[in-house]
Amino acid sequence: MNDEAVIELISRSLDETLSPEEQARLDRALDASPELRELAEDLAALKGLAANTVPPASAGAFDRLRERTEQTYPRRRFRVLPGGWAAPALAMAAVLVAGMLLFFRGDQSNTEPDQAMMAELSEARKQLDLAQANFHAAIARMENLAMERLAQLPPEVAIAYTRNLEVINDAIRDCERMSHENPGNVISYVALTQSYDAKVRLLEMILEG
Amino acid sequence: MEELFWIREIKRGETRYLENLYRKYHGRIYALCYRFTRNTGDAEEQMQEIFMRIMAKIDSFGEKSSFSTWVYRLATNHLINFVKSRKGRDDLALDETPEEGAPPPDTETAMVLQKAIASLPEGFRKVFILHDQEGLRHEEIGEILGISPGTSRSQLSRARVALRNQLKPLLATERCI
Repeated sequence: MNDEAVIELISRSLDETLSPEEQARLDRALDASPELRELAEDLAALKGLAANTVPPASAGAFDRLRERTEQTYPRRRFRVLPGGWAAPALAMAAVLVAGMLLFFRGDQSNTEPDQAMMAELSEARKQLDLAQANFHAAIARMENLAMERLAQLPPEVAIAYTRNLEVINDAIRDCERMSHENPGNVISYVALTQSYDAKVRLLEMILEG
Repeated sequence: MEELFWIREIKRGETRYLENLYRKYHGRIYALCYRFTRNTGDAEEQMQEIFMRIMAKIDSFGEKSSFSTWVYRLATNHLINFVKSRKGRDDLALDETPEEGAPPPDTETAMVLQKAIASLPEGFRKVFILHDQEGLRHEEIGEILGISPGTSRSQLSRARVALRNQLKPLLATERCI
């Protein structure tokens, strides 16, 4: 065995990737050569040194990055994606929000609502309630299927998905609470829609595997 | 899978999920930057550049390889170009005294080692940093650098011997400690 082959074996022995036969060959070569033994010891010391520490990055590095990304990539606005499971659920979400906006804009108007307007608003409210009920039913169906799918996934993947679902559900609860506590706050409806959107997409991803 | 969700969200324009990727990768990317640049200021700056490149190129991540391999490939290529672009400055940097705020010195040893690594031929340097300092496997390094795992193994072996020849007195001391 030439020196280069032994050096390769020494190097691989540091990474603990030698077969028993290769290890035996290496041991014989090292026994026979003090120079190769010294080389093996030096390379082992080098490996220990190489994994040296790195000084910490300064605090606030991510804030600077966020600033740059927000300038370069402003967040895209919410959009309804066509196709798949998302279409019916998101369409209902859109109806829901549009209906709520119409309802509250009418509600906050300074002018006294006439009979016709009241009837229109009442009809909008009914449509809105129906859309919301349909939306939740669609989400619930997706969620049931997603739970079945999660049971088939490796535990660590299922845990990760479940954690994300919990975060989104928390966001939905917060947005729903805000919109009930402050019905005139349009932003809470937009945030609610975005949370619905995120949930539908996550459920869709789970279902698609 | 969780990571794939973040990536898809970022592709859709939900840039807030970058924070999740940042939390997961910034330690490793920063360490890689430091090992190539040997300077905390440059390392931080290049880490930012790498994350900006991730954002710019994330649409081209086809989900065929693992995202971490894709990130390492992008980061390594970026850092190689950066080091090349500051070549003149880099030659001077080899003789510089440790920067302020640099790691505490048995750092004397760390500095000597970093200088020796910086003087390795590019191919050896990349493999050595990715394997012995970043802990990647030869299969991953092969994928990142576009070489076979066997080539990665043999370049690592040569890099180690080249470093040993440069650092013999230092290593003799280390062995005595």
